Amino acid sequence: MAKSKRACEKLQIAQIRPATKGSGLMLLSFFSPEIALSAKPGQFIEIGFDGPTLPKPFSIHDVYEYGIVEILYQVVGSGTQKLASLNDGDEIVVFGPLGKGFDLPEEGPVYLVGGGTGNAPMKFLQKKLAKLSPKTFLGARTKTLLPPQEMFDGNTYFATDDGSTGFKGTVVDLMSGQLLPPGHILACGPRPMLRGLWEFSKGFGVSCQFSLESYMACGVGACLGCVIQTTSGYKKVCSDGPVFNASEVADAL
Amino acid sequence: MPFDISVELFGQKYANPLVMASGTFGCGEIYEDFLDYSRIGAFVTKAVTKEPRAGNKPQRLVETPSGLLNAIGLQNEGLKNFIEEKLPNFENYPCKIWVNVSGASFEEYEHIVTELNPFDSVSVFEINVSCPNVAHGGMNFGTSCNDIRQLTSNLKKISKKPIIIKLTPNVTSIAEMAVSAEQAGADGLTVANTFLGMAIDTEKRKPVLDNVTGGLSGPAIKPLALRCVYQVYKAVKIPIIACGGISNHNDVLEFIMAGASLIQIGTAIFKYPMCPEEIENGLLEWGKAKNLNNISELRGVAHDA
Repeated sequence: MAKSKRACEKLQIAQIRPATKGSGLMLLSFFSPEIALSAKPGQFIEIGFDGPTLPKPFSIHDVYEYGIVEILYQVVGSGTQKLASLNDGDEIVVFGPLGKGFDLPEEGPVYLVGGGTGNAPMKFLQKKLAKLSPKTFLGARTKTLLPPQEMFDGNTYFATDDGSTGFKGTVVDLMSGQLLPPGHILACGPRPMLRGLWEFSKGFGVSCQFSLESYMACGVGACLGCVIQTTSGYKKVCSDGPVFNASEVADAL
Repeated sequence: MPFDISVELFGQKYANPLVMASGTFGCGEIYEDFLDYSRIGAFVTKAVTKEPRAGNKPQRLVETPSGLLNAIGLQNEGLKNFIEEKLPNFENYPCKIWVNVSGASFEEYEHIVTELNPFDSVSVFEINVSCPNVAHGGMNFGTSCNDIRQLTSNLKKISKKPIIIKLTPNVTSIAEMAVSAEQAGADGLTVANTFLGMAIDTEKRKPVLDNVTGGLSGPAIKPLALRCVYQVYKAVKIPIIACGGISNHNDVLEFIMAGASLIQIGTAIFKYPMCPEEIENGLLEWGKAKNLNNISELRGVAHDA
């Protein structure tokens, strides 16, 4: 895949707010035509801000032609807590788009599978693959950690561990309960979810791509901190990934 | 007259005192999209070892207050790949390029220096005797005055380029190590490398890093590194390249006033890949406001007090 043009800029937060009223997820947007126009689903950006030593990586939730980029994130540690406390107009450093995105299938059926913070890239992916009418399955621990349903098309199914919204159980349980014809799986989520999905996909998936989460520092392939063991040795999640063929990384999940 | 921040060192001209630290800048290819390399004096490559090294098992990183703990384990593709894949790009860069050399034996260091001697695009060998994250070599050499003396003197005999010894701060007296390197003929010293540390995951009740310990970098170690530079400057005459938590132009000034000729930027680039340009601007404005002619006038001035 050709390397896309990457930008690094200090800019202002256009808008930062909870994804919906009462949501445990935050939606942050900023104006960067360079990133908006070159980003591919599954790619991410790094955001640097006052406080943490390291920038924080976020997958791209959505982009708009007029240059707005959105990220959707959950407050999980002191870094995301600090980011959530910023206001519209506050300055941040943004660089990206980073990493390798998903290889977009040319024909269906296509299944988009997200879990937890891995739901974030699914909106962008759904938009880019609209022609193929993908079926989307999104899961989270509980209702407030699921992205708002209205963000997604009508072909989207929801699962929560506690049953507070949609199917009670995991996305893999949810998919297992449907009679799905074999198709391409594009997934992002925590490693236990991907492990389950890998088992499910054997003898089912036509192709299976996993976007991985990993503890990162630089996000650009410099520090070698985020590596994962693959079938061909250590690979950098940030720059060789974050999207990998599932078979390459399955043993390390 | 504009404030001159260029530095003359080892008969080489550096556009400014900013050097990108080893292990944070790949071999130059990483930050090309973000940073104008004419705005840095030099960069140091990721450590090169004779044979490829896979590095340590994950988890390799964790952020700590104002710091970053890492235990990468010198992952690199080895000397052959470095010569074939990385060196050819060096012609394209407007800054100086230093190669960070690491090994598990004296012979390994000597082999790498010999093989890289012919390449004009390499300006300096920075000898890594301070990696805290490998079982053999690395910091083992850097904690013994005798080993530093022997290694430096061996390399000086064969090297056609300046030899800079990158010292570890994880010793009782870094000044003694510095003196050993100077006596053996080192052309300069990088002061210093990361400080040995660790973190424990209280939920899992085990160390966060698979390697158990890691090297601490970032603003957390800046006062510690500054103290090291100050002490080494008192003990030796050879140039000092400061390294440790430097993130803004004021940090740079502190280290130069403590005695550094050049300074390295490491962890700070992760958060803002264009930070060297911002730091350069900050230095230029500062010097202009103070009506200074040359940044070298500031070297070691904190010792006069």
